[in-house]
Amino acid sequence: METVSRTVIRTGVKEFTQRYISYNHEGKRIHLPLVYVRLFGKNATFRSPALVDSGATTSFIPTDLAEALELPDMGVSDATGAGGKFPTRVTECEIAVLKQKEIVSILNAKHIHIPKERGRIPFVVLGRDTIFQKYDIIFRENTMKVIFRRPKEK
Amino acid sequence: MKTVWDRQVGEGEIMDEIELLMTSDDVQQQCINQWVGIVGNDIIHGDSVKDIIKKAKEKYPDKEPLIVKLPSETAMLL
Repeated sequence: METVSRTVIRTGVKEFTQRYISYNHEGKRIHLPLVYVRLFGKNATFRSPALVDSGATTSFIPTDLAEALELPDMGVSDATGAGGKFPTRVTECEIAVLKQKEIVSILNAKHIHIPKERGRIPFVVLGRDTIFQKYDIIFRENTMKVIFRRPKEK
Repeated sequence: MKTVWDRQVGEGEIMDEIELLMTSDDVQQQCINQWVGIVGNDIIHGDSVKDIIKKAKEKYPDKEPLIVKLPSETAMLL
């Protein structure tokens, strides 16, 4: 398999900058702060974009991706979004953060939510319990870039 | 006849999937509100993510697909 090595520095992180993805839809321009991740499942491994969401206290994997990955079912839970509370299932998943195809960090997401409702979220959401634990993250809306820096020593 | 890919990246040149998604309006439009797989310059459609991965593995056994769906909403609060 191509570049599915997990030989990164499991404890370390590599600083990087990611441009927002920008695309057109019905005459409007959409800009999203997405990073690319590699998701490791039971029988499948693939890459996918993930939203970096400083407003999310937890992280999510869309139902369709979780099914394809055959992630373990660790019980029921719920989450609260803009539309109110919604039911979820809890799972765990190893997630590699990528810059192009290079792994820059590994997130061991031990309590990640899968919405029961298909289509509830359109991509992986990395909240404050995962990627924000590894990096100091700066959103530069004026230049449409996200900067990932090693956390400063306390 | 030149394809969209040739125009995007130059004949014979393979663009990285992420780069392709970042820069190609044609590719981005195919990803809006539906899951697709991108392997090299190829777009793979399917009934489900599982189906897309199966097709990608059959066609490109040594490659790892990029699985993408982009939302159509311009204002989002998840």
